[in-house]
Amino acid sequence: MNYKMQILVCGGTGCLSSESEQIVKNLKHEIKKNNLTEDVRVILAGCFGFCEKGPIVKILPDNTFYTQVKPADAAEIIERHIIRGHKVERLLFVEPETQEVISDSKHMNFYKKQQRIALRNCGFIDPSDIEEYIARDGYAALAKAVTEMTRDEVVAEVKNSGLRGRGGGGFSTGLKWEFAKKSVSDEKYVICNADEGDPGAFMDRSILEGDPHSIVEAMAICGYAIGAAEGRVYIRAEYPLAITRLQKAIDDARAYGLLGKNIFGTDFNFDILLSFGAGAFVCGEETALIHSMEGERGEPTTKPPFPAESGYWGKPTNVNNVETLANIPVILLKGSQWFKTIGTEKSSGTKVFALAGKINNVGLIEVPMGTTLREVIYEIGGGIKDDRQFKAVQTGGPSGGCLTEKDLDTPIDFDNLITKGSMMGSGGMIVMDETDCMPAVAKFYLEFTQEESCGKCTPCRIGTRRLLELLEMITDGKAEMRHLDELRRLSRVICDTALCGLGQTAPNPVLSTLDAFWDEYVAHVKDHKCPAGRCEKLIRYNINDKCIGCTACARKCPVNCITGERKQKHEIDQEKCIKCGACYSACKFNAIDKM
Amino acid sequence: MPRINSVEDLKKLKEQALDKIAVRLQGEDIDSLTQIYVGMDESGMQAGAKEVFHHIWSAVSGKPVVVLQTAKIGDFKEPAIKVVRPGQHAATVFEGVTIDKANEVISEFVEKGNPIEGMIAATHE
Repeated sequence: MNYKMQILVCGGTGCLSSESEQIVKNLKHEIKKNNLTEDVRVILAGCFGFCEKGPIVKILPDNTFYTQVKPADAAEIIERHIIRGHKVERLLFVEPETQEVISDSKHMNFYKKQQRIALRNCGFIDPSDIEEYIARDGYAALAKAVTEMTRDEVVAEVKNSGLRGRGGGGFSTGLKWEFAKKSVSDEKYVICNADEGDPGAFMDRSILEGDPHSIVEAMAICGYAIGAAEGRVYIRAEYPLAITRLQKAIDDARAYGLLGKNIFGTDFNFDILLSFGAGAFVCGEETALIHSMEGERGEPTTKPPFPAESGYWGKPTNVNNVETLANIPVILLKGSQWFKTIGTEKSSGTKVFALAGKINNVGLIEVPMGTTLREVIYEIGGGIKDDRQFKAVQTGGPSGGCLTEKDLDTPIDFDNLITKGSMMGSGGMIVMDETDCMPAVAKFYLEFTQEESCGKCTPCRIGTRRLLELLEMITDGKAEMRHLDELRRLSRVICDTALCGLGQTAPNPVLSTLDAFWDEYVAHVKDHKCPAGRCEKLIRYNINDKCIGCTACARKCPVNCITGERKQKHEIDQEKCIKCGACYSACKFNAIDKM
Repeated sequence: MPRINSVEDLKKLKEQALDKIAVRLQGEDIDSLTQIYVGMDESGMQAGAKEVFHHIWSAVSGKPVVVLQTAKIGDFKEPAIKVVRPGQHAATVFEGVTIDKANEVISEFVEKGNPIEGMIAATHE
């Protein structure tokens, strides 16, 4: 049916949790009520990326982009916009810096510098409809590969594109394929690593939820290239929507003959099954992932042998992450030379980042490699929340490091970030402001990696525990200067001796913050002060002379440590105080100092 | 459910499936299309703007033209339509548009670029 207008509603996890499904229901109800069912169609699409302003509703063909829509807004959208052509002004986006009202997303700073390759179909197609994917050239790359190209040509094209693994390692994808292709075996496997584990990261989840067929197609292309007939997606069970949509995509691809026997009438056979992970961070490491899929403990093993020689059930196996695979169909269709025109010399293409933390525009972005951190944080991200001072940005999740003001003009690519003491990782990017305490940030990441350590190797199992204890001593004000030296020395030992990537990179947040924020560590150790005022045990609340004795603080104090007569200055018993800050929040007269 | 056995099958299915996303593709390429705006406020609707909108929409199907609803176009006799060429700020308004007039606008002015009676110069923001 030819609809005159279409309404896309964001169906990403964030928008779904803000009732976007109910918005769809209400819009459909209003459309029916106004006899518009033949003219207007509502589609629950994938993630638009602008999570800060969700739920997003986009009207087409006029490209009107409504933000923070509620189910109750559906009637007004239909009545005013769809029937009468008036935009619903109050739902339009206002650019924070200029206060300009913008109705078309392509004019928004958040989208202007983005280039969507991996996310090309997210927020555009109905992810549950294979035909919409096909309408966007879906499965054309697979058709081209199996009917026009030799296996060597496919591998060469991927290799020439310069595509590097987007899951963290940054290893050449084409080389990986070449190794797997050259391995001789009666059986080979293609594995999609969908075990996205970085805190705050949701790049792969969004691709799987918004464009699952791109992964199915890419895995089949890889299967053809390396000579595998079976594929597995290792996906964490905490991603129920991604699992549902991916399973539907696989079932539909089978039904259309795009998976199974004799694909496109050739002798190429390929099928995909799902394997579910229990959410262990270490299972993002490819050997641990393979062991988990085999029913063993999710522990890494030394390499070599690499999975390309001996992987799943001891057979040659190619493991790529979701975002890496999402690039493959486009590279085959548009060519490796086109792909290399995007990005930098050694890091071609784009990178998806989950932009989070103290930033105005939280969301999912895709930018060409070479875009600077400043562009990402201040132009796309809209700057720091509440006009606070930028302090640092953590890239690469728990394996990465903190970059500071001096690094803001660094073009983002795999090598630059490593040179600066961080790493690309899978694309988590957490922005911090002046109120964030850097030893506490390092402690947060160590708590995570220590908890997630599989325990197989001593440096990681015990070393990360000792690092965490040292950081706890620092943030509790119990450390001495020698402990800072010990922290650095132990970090280096773990980096050098841990078995897998998790352990080898776990100390990175410690090392990078020690380098960039040494004075802050010293303040905790020597002065027993937390300059950011975040470490509870180093905070003191004192009542100053502005106190009028209103008793608001005393009434809020959960441990009754504030005393004083009404209309007289009050006092805090520091021995009893638990530093909860309830008094600080309750005081309307700035009479409580946080020190 | 169609089974795809060849590249030709895929191409055929793609052509059919394009209808599903045609409106979205128009939105993506809107700057390279001729835009025809139809004023759909209360007075426009009462004067028959809805019928004009639907007629134009059917008449330009498959052509590099996108038909858009808008509120009141200006102080013109309703129904009024505004034509904007790709990448231009200059626009041309036609007032009191009937089905016959809409056909003339499409076939002569939009497709052939010929001037026709009733053209009113305007701007497009």
